[in-house]
Amino acid sequence: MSDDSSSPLTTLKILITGESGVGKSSLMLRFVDDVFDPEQAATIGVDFRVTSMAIDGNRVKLAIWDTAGQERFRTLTPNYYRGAQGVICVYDVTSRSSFEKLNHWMMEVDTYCTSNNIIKMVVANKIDMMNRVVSREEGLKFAKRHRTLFIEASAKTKEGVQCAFEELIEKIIQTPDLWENDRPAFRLGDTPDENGGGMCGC
Amino acid sequence: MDENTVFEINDFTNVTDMESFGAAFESILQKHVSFGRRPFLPNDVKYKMVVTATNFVKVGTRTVQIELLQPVANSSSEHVFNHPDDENEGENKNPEIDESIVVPFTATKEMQFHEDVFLSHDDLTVKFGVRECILISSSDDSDNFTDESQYNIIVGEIKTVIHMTGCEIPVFCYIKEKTLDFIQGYASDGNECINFTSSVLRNINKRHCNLHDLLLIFKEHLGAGSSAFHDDVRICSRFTHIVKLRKSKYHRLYTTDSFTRLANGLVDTLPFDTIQIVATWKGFRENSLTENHNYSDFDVNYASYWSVKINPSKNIFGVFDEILGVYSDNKRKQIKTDITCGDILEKHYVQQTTTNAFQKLTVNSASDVRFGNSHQSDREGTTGPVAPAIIQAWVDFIFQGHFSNDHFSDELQLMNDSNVYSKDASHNDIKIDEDLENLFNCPNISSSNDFLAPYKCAKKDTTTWRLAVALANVRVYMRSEPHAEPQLWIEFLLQLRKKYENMEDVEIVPNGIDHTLCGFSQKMQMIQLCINARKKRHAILDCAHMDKNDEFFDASETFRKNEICESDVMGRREKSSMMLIGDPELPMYLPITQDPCPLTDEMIDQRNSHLFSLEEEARVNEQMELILSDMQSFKAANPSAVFADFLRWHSPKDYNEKTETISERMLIPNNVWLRSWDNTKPVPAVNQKRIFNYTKIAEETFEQFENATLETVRQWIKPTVFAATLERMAEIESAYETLEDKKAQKVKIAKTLANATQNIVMADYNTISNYCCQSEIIHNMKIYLIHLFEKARESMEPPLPSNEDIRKAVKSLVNKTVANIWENSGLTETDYIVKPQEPIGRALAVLCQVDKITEKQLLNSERKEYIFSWILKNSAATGHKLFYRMYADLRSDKHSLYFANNSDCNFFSSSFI
Repeated sequence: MSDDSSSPLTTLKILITGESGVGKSSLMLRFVDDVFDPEQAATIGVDFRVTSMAIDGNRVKLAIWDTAGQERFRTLTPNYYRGAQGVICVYDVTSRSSFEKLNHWMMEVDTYCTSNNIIKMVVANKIDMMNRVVSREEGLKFAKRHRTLFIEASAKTKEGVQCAFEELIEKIIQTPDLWENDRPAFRLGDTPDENGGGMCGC
Repeated sequence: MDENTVFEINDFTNVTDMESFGAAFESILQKHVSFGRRPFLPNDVKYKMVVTATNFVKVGTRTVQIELLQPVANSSSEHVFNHPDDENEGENKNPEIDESIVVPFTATKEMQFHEDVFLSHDDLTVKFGVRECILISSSDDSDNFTDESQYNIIVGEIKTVIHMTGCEIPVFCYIKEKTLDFIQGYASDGNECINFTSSVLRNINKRHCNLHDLLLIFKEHLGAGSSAFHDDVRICSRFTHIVKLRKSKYHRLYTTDSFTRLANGLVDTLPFDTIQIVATWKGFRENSLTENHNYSDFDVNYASYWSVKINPSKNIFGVFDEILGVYSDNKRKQIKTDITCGDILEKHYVQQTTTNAFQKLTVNSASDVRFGNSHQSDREGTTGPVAPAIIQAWVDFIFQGHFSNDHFSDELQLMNDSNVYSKDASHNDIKIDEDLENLFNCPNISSSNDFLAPYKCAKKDTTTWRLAVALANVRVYMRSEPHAEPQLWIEFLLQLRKKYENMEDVEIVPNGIDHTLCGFSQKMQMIQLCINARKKRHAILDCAHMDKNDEFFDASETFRKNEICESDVMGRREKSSMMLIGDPELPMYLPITQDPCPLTDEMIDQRNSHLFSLEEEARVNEQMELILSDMQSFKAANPSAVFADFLRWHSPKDYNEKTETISERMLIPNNVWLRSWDNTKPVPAVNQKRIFNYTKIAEETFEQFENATLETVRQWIKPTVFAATLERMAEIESAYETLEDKKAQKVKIAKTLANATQNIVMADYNTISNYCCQSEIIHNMKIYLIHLFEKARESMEPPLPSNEDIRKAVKSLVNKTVANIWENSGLTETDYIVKPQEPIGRALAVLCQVDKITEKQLLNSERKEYIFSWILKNSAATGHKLFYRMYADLRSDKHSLYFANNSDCNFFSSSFI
């Protein structure tokens, strides 16, 4: 292996889930390519983007998996959780049903993720829209109850997108058990609290 | 005085080796020791000597090691006595010594008679009475002090330093090799001194092997003082008896009960075959007990107390070590494991008969295949390692959880009779083995501990779990026949194939592949899903003249597609409440759709890395399979439907029923959804290309199974075997309550296994393996001891020891042994002390058949030790009390005497320096 300082510390797998049409692909594209296409086609199966970012001076390679939200593809999504270190569950602040379905998505994460301490984040998308029906407080309350990170964002205006990903990656890096290859022996007394309640300051 | 003179003085102080040694020794003393009176420790021997400082000093070309040994309070001393005897405590202080005059010289005080001295584990405490000392030895075994003159030079120097500094700690020095135990020493407080000497004999004079003769030696050694015997010599003694139990050979018996449980218990030896009883007689006066060439009063049953320990057999490992050992230790792999099971058998059995058999999978059973020499071929079934009835029972057990085979018990009996017992096995031995087999089997499992930790392994009561148990068991049962394991795997595969062909269930799959289970379990589930899919397909292809007996049904399947019944031609599942936009007169029918292909973890990884390698467009196309199939089905069920109708069913978010508009993203010109819809023909699901190609997947899985090396097979079932072992461990422990409540440890172990199975952590597996093997050894010892005690109790007169007495005794005995075997066991080695006349002591006597120890054995027990002590009340020179002590250690090959003589004529003084 080379000593090249730009060689990434690790490669992280981040999964984006949520109901159909909440803007999962848009969030990913905004983060990776810094673009927004209002006419983003509905994802089929799963889509990927690979990018890298610097966290605390370390370069981290990211594989972002964007899943299809439609009911028909739901039987496939469990397959994508394998090896993921972080999950972003997205809902649309203009659609109450997409918020109400979050429970289902959280349950799926807990059922299928392979790491015990996978980092979870709830992202409330489309906050630029005028017809918001889910308040920030409701979202925050949900996130606290499920011990996840929470952030409001808009893929269209860029607001919160970069911050959401950074926050998530930082949290993963702070949990070396998730990504270190030579994992230490099981540590007793690991509290799940570490993962919960965080909130982005911006 | 000019400067040159000063130079001359420096030049003159050309120190000799001994002087430099003396200086080094002194600086060591200055550094580590406080001079003057030493603290005197209470005489309850709850101390052990610990090396607190080690230094190396050069003497000429030789390096000597100087260690400081100091007493450290033994924290676990509460176990020293089972039943503290209060009345004895007063005797610890010798009332004849007047302590009020001056603070005494501690070394002389410690060598005074002390009857519990045998409870000490420290060599030097037993030999000389001291509990603190400085020990000098050669740092290199090849470079010893070979004679006393060398020793004397060193000791001379030491004495000088001692007197100069006022160090009162005794100093000892080994002469020759340490193992010879030839040791001399000196201590002084300036007024009086003690000389410590020893003599070690290899050629033993039989005359000096008993109390009577040793007492004469002691008295002779007292020399001048012997004329003044106005006080008795006080003595304590200790006899070590090693009692042989039955021979340690143990034969596993095969029973129908144990057949289906994960094997546990003993491999081929009992956990221990000898018990060591060390009988101690606390202080007595000369003439109160007699021992000479012909007679002994030292009846082991009337000793003050016994210190008992069990000596573990050479191979103490139990069955769990046998089961889990193949995963950690290459040496234990008796056969090549990097070739397929078929090849393993082929190599060791006649090749021409097996080649066809294992390559052609339509053969009914490996039991039909005949191995071995042709003259045996007229026998029924296989001449392979496992008899047909047994292997059939095992295969039935794997698939059904039970078996019914009339020949099975006969075959089992045959196995027990033929391989197991040699002619010399006594009826009694067989009976004991049977008893033990029952004990280890735990027929009455009171509560089974189901760990809640998320192990990534097969679930209990599944075929995979039972397969893991059977493959582990076959290794234990057929220990001498390593080919039994591959044979069972092949038999299992043949049965699996047969069941697949006959569409019989092979595994429990409640709701798609359970990804929380291990890889092999997922493969088994996949085969079951393939069987389910075949069944379903057969149901859909509702064709009358299907030949159910045709084993090659799949091959002809494609030719029958045209025979699909007319009623299914539209592929409609049910009518929905919506009316079609394409034809408002018609209701929308929900089509029968194809299920996506189930995927095991392995397949998911392959698929994901494949998708990852593709360009975006290719990736989308690769994933269109399900949507295209849905569009075909929908069009077939609703021939007049338009794209909007499809969206209303398939992606309701993309069609606004209020505004009757399609979402923007679906209206992007030439987007993949629209394009596909336009290009799709109506085809009902039944006529479509199969998304879940179960035939292909099943064949691929079978191929993997057939081509797996034995090592691969073992790795596949590894997580399940480990989980089953832990589970069994919990069962047997709860059945006998042999393990105290160690919940925290159990939780920790369960979590370790969860981590091992989920992340394939070798170190964690090793931790579990060690834990299980050690726990089983402990369990085996306890079970065997309980068994021995209970047997002993049956033939005892009341009062009998209670169950609690036995439990305590077993715990102490086993803990001591465990502390001996594993340094890291966390247990401290404490003596198990028992009084021979207590119920538990009498039970031990029965158990060890102590009554069979003859007079002759009493006179020549394994090891005899005596401590003699005498006080001269008025020394000629000063009128002080002087103390004399002798310790005699008599073993079969070595007799050693250790003397400590007090003297108030301190001729050595520092004045001549």
